Amino acid sequence: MLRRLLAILPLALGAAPLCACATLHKTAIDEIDAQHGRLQPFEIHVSDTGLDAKALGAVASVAARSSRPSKVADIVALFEFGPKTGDPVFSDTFADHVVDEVLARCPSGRVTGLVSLRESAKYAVASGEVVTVRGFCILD
Amino acid sequence: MTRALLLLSSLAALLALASGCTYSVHEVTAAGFAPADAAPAPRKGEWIHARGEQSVVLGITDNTDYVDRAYAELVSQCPGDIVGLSTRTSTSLGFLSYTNVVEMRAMCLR
Repeated sequence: MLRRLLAILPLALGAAPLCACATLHKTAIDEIDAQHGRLQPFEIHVSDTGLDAKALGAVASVAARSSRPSKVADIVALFEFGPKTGDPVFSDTFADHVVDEVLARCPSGRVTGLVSLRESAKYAVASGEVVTVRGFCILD
Repeated sequence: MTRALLLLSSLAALLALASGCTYSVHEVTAAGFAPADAAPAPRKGEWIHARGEQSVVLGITDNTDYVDRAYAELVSQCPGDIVGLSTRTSTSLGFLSYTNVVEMRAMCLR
């Protein structure tokens, strides 16, 4: 039993990066409101799908058994010039409604302890580009 | 069959990346919900918005105050309190050039 477990463990550890790899890029903590009242926690997630040109090229190269798709990916990378956080996405407005979501969860607007996170969940050729906002609504 | 499907879908995704506009969203923050002045009566609120852009070609730019200008534009739109500020910093990626963008949206309490 133990021998079988020891045999499976390296395989499981080796396969873990193939499933997903989470990265925390940035964190911002907002002010703490001094108002008293019951606190109700809330959490908002918004996300979009990012694509990795180099990984796509590598997959296409393996499928085609040729290095040409990787070279095409290198050319595509020239069209994605600039600083990147996570993988490129097709919309830059996917997280613009987070404040509306905050007000929807807390209509009084009495919000405290907001934490804004920018994260990525990386898969083989794609990634989930995630914005998370956590905080507390002051009730009463 | 599977290989051909994998190749086609990878190439289609690469084509989409090359032909479409792609962006990198660096940071989105929500902040400042507590008004500076606790007014006894409810106040009228309206959304205000400001945007700053910085064009960079081959890593060179002469515009280094786009965030300051966006902030000044936002503040100039509101004589009262600014609350519920959402700030996004992102980059519009392009061919050997890119545009950094800062977008601010907030509620003005008059």
